[in-house]
Amino acid sequence: MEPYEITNPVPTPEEMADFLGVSRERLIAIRSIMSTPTPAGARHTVRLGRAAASAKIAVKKAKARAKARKA
Amino acid sequence: MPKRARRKSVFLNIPYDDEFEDLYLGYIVGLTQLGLTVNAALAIPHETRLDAIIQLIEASDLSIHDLSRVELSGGVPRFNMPLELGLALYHSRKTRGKHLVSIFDRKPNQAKRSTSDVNGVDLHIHHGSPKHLMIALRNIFRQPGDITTVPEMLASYRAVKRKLPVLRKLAGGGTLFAAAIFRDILLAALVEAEARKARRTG
Repeated sequence: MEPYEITNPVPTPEEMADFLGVSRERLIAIRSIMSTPTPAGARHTVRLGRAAASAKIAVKKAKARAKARKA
Repeated sequence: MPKRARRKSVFLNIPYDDEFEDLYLGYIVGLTQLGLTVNAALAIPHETRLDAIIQLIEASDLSIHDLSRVELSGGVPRFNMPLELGLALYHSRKTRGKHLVSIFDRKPNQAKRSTSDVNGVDLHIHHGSPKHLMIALRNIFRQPGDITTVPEMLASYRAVKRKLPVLRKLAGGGTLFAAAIFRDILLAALVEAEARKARRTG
């Protein structure tokens, strides 16, 4: 299938804020959030992701159960 | 003064549940970075929902329907996504294909089995991962100059995801599937896109 041509350029945040009816104050708050560095720990959590984190927990639980059975 | 190109918009038909948060974020960031305005049926009261959805479909140039979670919920099938797909397909037919319809699913052949009437409609598989979602989006769309790359889209997705706790707090907490935080995520994605473009162009 042929790709769908998007003829418009990517809007600026200001253009989109106007289009959505979002105030400039809120956009400034969002800009400030996006420009603040994130702590390294938070980055690690994101990289792991919820699925990977729950998979790790499941593995730990399974190991503990196997250990308990052996004992 | 040159005439500005009309902004293209996409109607996003996806499941609104917590397990879908990653892909929800992926859709918003990916589509926004490609220059599309995202229309979603968020915060619409149930009484007027159907009318609002039809209006959103008619106001959009194309629609994306994610059928990956068309399954039983509390013993009841989730029919909203196929229902909205049906509305969009009818609109596409009425507009002689001007309204583009794309279907996304987690596994190949799943949609073809659950909703076999859609055979022949543009189908994309995301395997439940934002990376595959971005690849599929990049394959569907072409931008002027073809600038946004999949690694850039993914980097922006990760950047916005890192900021979700703060963005959520700014919107008063609670679900991501609410109108206020939806708008904030959209703007955050554009702020990130702008920063990446500035870095790329120096």
